[in-house]
Amino acid sequence: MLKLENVHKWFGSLHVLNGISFEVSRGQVTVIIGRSGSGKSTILRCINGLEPIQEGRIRVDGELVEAHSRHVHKIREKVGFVFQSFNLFPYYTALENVSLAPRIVKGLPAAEARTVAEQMLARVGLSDKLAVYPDKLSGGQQQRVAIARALAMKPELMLFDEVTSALDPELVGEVLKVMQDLAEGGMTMIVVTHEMGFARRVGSRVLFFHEGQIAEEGPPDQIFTDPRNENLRTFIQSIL
Amino acid sequence: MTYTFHWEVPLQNLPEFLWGALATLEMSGVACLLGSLVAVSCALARLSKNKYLRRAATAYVEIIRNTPFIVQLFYVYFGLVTFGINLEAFSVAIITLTLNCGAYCTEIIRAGIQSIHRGQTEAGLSLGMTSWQVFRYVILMPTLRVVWPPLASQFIATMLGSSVVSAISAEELTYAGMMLESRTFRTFEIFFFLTIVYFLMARLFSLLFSLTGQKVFREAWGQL
Amino acid sequence: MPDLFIAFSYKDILFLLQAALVTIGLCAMAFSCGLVVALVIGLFRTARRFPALRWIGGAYVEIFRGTPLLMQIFVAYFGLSILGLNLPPFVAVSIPLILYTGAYMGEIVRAGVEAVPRGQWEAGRSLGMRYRQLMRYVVAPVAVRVMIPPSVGFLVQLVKGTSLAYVVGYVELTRAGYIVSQSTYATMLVFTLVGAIYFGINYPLSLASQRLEVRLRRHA
Repeated sequence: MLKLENVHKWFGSLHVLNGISFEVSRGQVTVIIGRSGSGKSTILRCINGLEPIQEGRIRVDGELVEAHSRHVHKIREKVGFVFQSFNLFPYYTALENVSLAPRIVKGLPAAEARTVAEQMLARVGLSDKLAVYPDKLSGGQQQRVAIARALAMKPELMLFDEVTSALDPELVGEVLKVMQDLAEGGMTMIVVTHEMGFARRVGSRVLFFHEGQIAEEGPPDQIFTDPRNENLRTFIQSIL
Repeated sequence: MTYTFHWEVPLQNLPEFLWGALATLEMSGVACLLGSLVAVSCALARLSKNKYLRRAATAYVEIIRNTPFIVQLFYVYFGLVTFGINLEAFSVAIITLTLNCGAYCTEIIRAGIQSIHRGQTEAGLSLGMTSWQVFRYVILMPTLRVVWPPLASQFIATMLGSSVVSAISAEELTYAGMMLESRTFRTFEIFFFLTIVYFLMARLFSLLFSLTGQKVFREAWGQL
Repeated sequence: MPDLFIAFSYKDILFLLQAALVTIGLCAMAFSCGLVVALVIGLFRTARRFPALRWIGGAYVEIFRGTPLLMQIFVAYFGLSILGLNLPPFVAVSIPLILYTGAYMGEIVRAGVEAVPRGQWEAGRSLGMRYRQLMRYVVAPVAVRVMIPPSVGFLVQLVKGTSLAYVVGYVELTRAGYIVSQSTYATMLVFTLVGAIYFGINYPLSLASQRLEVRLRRHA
């Protein structure tokens, strides 16, 4: 349902994405790994149109993603995004954070939006925190609310941008569990992460990004036990 | 619109305006200089351990900051007259501008001094610096660097605010405009012209303050 | 020893208080209309993809903050009569004050909008929100809270600014003080009173602004 063709992007003179092409089919969980600066977060932000690309094409269900066009918000209704720094709206409760977009973007009546929000928050295990403001939630709870907020839009594709990197270690597990449940439920996901355990357990395939290109791709077992690319081998050794 | 503009009126009287501008600059310059001295004293007073010094300085600052400049001007002018002191308007203007500028600058300097972490003073002393060295390198220069932009803004604001002293007939730029206006009745053209003059003066000084700051503090500020 | 009580009566005090109401009225008019201008200017200045708008907003702010308010009042007041508009003095004096407010409050609006962390913009856009929705639901809650302390601080500046209407002959508190002092010769008493009234209006506002700022910083 997602197709990237020969995507190139420059930040000034830095060639951050150098001919990225891949496809994602429904239900597939794609994990992207690589060093900082390899372009892995950037590609995610290009997919939902937060960053423009200079060359190549990105299509979601056949529709072209154009970052500054007036139609990009339609793509975003189908593609959910979860940020490393959560980005919850500080002056809304958890429930309001989750029910806001369905109400104003999809036009759902308030009661229906509220129901959807309650369901999503239940799904991430936070039914008891509906009326709580973000500053009173732990990092892991905030991130789960962020996931619920993205899910409330009933997306067909979910993008996760290093969503556990900003969390204290003991809070990482609760978020990964939510993501695993989502994957097992059949959600199409692209996850940029350093959590190799998660990649092996949940991923259908792994893409290794190096200096703006896909240096190797394959199923998790092969990537982690028998890496063929030189850089990939060095990378895996450095994180073990 | 049946009005015919006579733009030559302000343009033909440039010498008068030049004198006026110089008077404005002289007045503002002295006021800012003296005001800074007042401000440093009052800032230290506001940070002192003496309860009465603190209160007196705070009262001075709050009264000036919460009343209009023109009222302060009249107060000083008529106040001096009432007590038999007959100063010329120019001097009264400088006194009032000094008091006004001093109050605003007090707050700026106080904030600057307080922004220097106490730990840095202790660090300096622990490294074996004398009190004077600590003051000069750890407190003074960093404070000056911090207060320079807002202080420069305040000086420019004082220069713009000096236009009000025309109300007591002090001879400066705005008053020159009023004199010309009473002779030629070309109110709009004269004051439109003067607005441009003030704007250019303010821009010029903003640039000068910026460049001076850059040279002395080696920091790149944008427009002040 | 100056005699402070020649011919000064309660009628004069009443006159001063009425003039104080005029001052407050001018402020209310200038602030409410100026806020509209400020929103426009502030949004212009934060328009990321329209440099022309940013430039217009920037020029507007520079002009009204880089020239004396006295000059602005003169030019606007006499300019309006040249244009043939015979506006009531209250309106004619309000207009330069509105433009002045628009510039200073415009900067405050800009700072408010810029205070919203980029991540929240991105979160809103990722959820499919468009500009108007982003402004209303994501930016406004944060920006308005940030804007309140400096706005209250600006009100103080505005109250002081109305005193310059004196120069075009408009009767507000300062000119009222001048008139009373000319007729009663109790100059010092009158201006002390005038100063006290201004102080009574402004000091609570100044305190409120400081307190609000502390509260805002604690919540952030």
